[in-house]
Amino acid sequence: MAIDKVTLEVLKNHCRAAAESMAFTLYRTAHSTFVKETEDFTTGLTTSDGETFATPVELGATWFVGLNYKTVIEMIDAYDEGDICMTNDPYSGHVCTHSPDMHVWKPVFHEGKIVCFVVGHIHNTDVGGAVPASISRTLSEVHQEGIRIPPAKVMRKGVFNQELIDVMLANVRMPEQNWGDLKAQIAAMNTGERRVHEMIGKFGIEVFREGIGDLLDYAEAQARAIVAELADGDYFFADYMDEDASDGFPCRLALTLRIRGETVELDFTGSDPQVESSINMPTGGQERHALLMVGLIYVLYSLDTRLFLNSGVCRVASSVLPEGTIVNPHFPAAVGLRTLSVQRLMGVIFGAFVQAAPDRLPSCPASGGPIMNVNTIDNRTGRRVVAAIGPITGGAGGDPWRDGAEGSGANSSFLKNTPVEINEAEVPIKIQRYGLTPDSGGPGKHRGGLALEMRFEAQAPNTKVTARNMDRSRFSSWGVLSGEAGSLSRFVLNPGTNRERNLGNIDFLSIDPGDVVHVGSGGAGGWGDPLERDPELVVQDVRRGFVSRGAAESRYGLVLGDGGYDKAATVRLRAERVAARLDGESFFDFGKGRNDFEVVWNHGNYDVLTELLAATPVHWRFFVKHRVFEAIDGIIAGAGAVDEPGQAKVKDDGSDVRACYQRVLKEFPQLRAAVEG
Amino acid sequence: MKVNQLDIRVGVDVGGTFTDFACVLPDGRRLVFKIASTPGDPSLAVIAGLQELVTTHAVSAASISVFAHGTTVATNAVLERKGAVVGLLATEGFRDVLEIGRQMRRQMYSVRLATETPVFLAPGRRRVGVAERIGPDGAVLRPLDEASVIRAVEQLLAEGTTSLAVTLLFSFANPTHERRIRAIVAERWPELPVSLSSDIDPVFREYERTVVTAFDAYIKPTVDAYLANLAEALVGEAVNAPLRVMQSRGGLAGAAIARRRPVRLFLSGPAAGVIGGLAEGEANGYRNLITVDIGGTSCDIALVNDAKPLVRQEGMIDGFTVRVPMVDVNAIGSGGGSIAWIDRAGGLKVGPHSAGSAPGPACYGRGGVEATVTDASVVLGLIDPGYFAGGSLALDGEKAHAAIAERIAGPLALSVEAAALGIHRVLTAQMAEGIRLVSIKQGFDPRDFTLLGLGGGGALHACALAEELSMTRVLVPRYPGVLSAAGLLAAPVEHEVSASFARPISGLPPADVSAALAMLDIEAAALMSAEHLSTDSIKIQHAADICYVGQGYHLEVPLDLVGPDPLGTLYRDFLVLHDRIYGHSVEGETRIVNLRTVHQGPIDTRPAALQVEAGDPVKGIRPVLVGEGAVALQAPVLDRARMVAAHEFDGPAIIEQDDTTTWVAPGWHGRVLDTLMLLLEKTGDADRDGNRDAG
Repeated sequence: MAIDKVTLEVLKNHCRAAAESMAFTLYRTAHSTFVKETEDFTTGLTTSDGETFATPVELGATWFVGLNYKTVIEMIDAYDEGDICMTNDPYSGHVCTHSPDMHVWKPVFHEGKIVCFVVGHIHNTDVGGAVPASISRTLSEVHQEGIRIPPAKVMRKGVFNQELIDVMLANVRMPEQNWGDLKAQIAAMNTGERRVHEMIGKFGIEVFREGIGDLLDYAEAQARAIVAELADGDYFFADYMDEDASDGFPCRLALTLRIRGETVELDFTGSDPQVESSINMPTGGQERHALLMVGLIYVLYSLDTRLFLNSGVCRVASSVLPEGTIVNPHFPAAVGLRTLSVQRLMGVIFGAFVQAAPDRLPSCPASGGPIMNVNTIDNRTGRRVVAAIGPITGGAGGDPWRDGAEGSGANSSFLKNTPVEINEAEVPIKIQRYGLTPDSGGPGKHRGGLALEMRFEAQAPNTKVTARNMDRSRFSSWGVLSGEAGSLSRFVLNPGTNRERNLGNIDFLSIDPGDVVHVGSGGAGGWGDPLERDPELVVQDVRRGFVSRGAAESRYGLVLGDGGYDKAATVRLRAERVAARLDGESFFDFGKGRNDFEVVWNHGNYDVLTELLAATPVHWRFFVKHRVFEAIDGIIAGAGAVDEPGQAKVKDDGSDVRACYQRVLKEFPQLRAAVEG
Repeated sequence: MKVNQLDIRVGVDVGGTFTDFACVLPDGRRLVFKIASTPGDPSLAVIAGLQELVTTHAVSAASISVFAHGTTVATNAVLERKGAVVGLLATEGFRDVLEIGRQMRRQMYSVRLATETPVFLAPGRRRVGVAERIGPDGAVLRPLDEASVIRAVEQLLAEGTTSLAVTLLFSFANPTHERRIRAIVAERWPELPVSLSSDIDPVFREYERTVVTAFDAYIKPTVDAYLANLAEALVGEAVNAPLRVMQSRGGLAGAAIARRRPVRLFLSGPAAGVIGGLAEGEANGYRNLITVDIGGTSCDIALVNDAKPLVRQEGMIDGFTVRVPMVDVNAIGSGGGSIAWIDRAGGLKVGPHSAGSAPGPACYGRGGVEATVTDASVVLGLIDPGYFAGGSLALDGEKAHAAIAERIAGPLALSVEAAALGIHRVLTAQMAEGIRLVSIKQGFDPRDFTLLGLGGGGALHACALAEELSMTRVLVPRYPGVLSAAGLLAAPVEHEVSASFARPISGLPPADVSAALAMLDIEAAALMSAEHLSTDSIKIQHAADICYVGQGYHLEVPLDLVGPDPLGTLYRDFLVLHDRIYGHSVEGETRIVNLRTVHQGPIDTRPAALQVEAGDPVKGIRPVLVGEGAVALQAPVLDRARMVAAHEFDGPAIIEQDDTTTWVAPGWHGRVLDTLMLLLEKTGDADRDGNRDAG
């Protein structure tokens, strides 16, 4: 390090303050609900090479600490003072990762030379395309996801590029919102530029230049120290999204984490091929891409909350990202819903690390709940309203010290909810319920946080509801160390009536006056053995309405008595339960949905599938995966009742999977040509 | 206000360790003293101090005309979790709002975390829904099911509820259901106190309204009993003056009224401190101040603009955001006892952990081994180990040296002196950041302000802080340690009433606004009339919270209904304010969110008469280490008690007094003002003309 430690500490304060004042400007001036109430935005400072060296810690979205703007910075030929650039194209440099995110960057000059960039993004509610709000699982090409602006100057020497802005605004559904938010972003850039100039004035240009390099080194050194405390080893973890497309098959994300001294390697081999829906993650194969790093940053920060966050932290990591997979898709795969897959990917990273530090990390946070949008006409004014009515996120995972926070605190909860009193005043719907879901938290010595649910009624015909990121209706959040999995998510139309319909993971529906939608997230996983949970805490949960009396007995082995519990009976029941347990408890509890699935699709079979698909051309893989899954389902169905109960009907050595693949090859001679060609 | 023999004014501020008294006698003389606080029942110390006034200082209790009190009772009930057992009634289907909160969390990047909402106020078993529903326009969508109210309250009572909070959706638009619940409870359970959200905070956003209402219910019985008891005890001591208490927003309220809205008493003491600083500044002609009160564990920072404190519509109590108007005091964990440490990547940090007073800094010699800010001050020569706290505590300079050598200098391979300077520099940077938060983030340029150094440490760090922020003026009051008690005497009686008023500005008939404000004024006037102040002495200020249509955050803009185009002016003032705070503003659709009226009684501005001791102020000379190279400068040491008005001197200089030490850095010029206030001004390389606003 070049500058002294004391000056560096002072500079660090100033840099973080600069990023925070940008965020503050943005937050307070933006117009759309997405920014003002849910805080889906970022601000930051990068080196002239695009490495992020300072971000806010208490404002905005959490995903982009490790973001590197280098690729897009280089796509602009030359910069003048007063220029501001923007892009929302996920395939131009992979800085933007889905079209609603408008990234902007502004060079900061000192004596004619660029010393750094001020950067940031806002998630626009809509950027046009096939569906309102621009994102739907059903889309398969990025072209359907709205207008894409490759890196371009929105301001040249302080003057708006009005033609570009006009083109953008002509292609979006709520132009005044996009325009308002863009102006807020520009205000934030100008705040940041001003703060950088103040810092240069204070510290001198040499110290500033050296110092920002040192800040990256400093974060790296901290991160290395954290990793060094973890036991070296290989840790495998996989999890699934319910569907790889609408009505599709499960989508697997797999990770082998290799901890070696002060560094980690994230090998995503075993993850599914890129999909014909919009949950692909556009990393461009960059081994320290922000979407991959976010889970790692959560883990390292959770292990030591004094970690200074910037992209220096990412230098401890490298990744293996097989081409044509969901973690490294080819153009023009749709990416709008990558929020869902990145969240699951974060969980996969947590699952790998928790094996290395089970006494320092929690079980799986809740997820699966969507971000709800409504598009309807206000009966009172006759005007169309398109608005986000809030994220339905669940609680935090149980951890070594305490229960997970209820209804919030999962890794997606940088998103703020929208008050009922704003939703109903601005959006013509009537909300019937907004609260916690009993019995949804995974039982454990430390219980998983409860799920969140909302129930609302449409007030106008043809009210369009989008439920973005809906998932976990089949695969639960996992528990660890005998802690159990959380509940599944729930999405139901007209519950409790004869018109009741389970909506599963659909993300778009049209409803009419009187229709009621119930939407709930999954619950978080528990930590530790529920039979070791303090009986008083179980009693308290029952009195709070968080755990039912039935579940207190069936899942916690607690015998309730008058106003409390029956101590002797509880000790007896718990002892019986422990005695009845089978040996060889596994580290994780995945819940019934996944256990059933993995009877067939166990580790061995999936490895064979991965190997076969990797040898198949990218544009065939999704198709072939589906045909193999169908063939395997055929084996299960064909076996009928012949097999003994509990026996797997599909061989677990991969031979059935290979046989099914051969059948597909035979059925589609074109495939053979493609494979061999 | 007429001066007569019956005009003795008493301000009492209760702190954690000491209860401070400031008393102004009819001839303007001031008595200032401290007695040990009595945390079990803080009123005991108040009465003991009053008795000391009577016996030691020959003050007749019956001659007291003002008895103003800054209390920690509300704050402590929360910090110590000693409030009531609150039951919460909510609209059916929404009982968990308190627990879910806004889902945001401060520790964004951590996956292991505790809940950040004040669930302790009313955990799940004490939150019950009642069948009813009001819509956004105030229409009753589902009538109140009174039987469900009775069942719910019975259930809450069975859970031990001793205080009831009621927050129904959209009750700010139509409070009839909440009021009916109060009537039902009053009839059946007359002893059960009830806090209605439509009374406490009739403004939209149900979580925020629930929190403030639940806090109100939580502290109500405690505050109520304390104030009733104290008022009675004062009568017992023959004090006829009404008991008044400082509210969070910086005005006094009669105890009887404060008991009705106890949630407005949070951070009563710090608010009084800002008012005290404001009064000190204004008495010397300085109306734009940044007050920095540095104690042992923390530093309270506040901004005074044009002799008015900044008031936030949302304050913080014990880490929870509460929507109560509060003087914007930014408390950061940096003080004399803050511990310096080195993180795992080799960075030097100061605080937020503090050595407190036990064991205290290493130099206290009470077993502390950590290097603290005070230890650094001793090493640098800023504090005389033989004259700390007026010589009442002898410091051990060698222990200070050893702690810094072992904990900081060794690991960083620095000299002990350089390490001590480093600790001060890091501390200064942190405090400067705290100042930026209350100034630059509000659109104020600190260079336009005067820094007021308060508390035991404010005057020691003031010059360094001012230089860090390019400020050119520092003030140090004669008694920087009792500003809260003094502030109580300088504060007006004040009552604020606000309500939601969601209307676009364009096309809005001014008559609608005046009608709504008239309703608020009636309410505020009723509160003022209970204070027994003459109506012609009352100032009324109106304001509106305004935002762009679609924007989530509003700004408070003063509103004058008398002018020719009041709403046009309001709109233009909003644009100017928006530009000041956010750096831009555009013509656009705007709307009013809330209307507010503030009724304020007269302010007493009579200056205090202070005495100076006879004798030469120069006590001696000692070396002080300054600058990057820790160069030793010989600084004269002055005795504050002997410094007469108009005395002038140049830095470097050290000014000692019992309760603080002032460091006057090289390049600063000092002068004692008529009020014995110390004014320090940057000379020489000051790169900018101070726009000093006084003669």
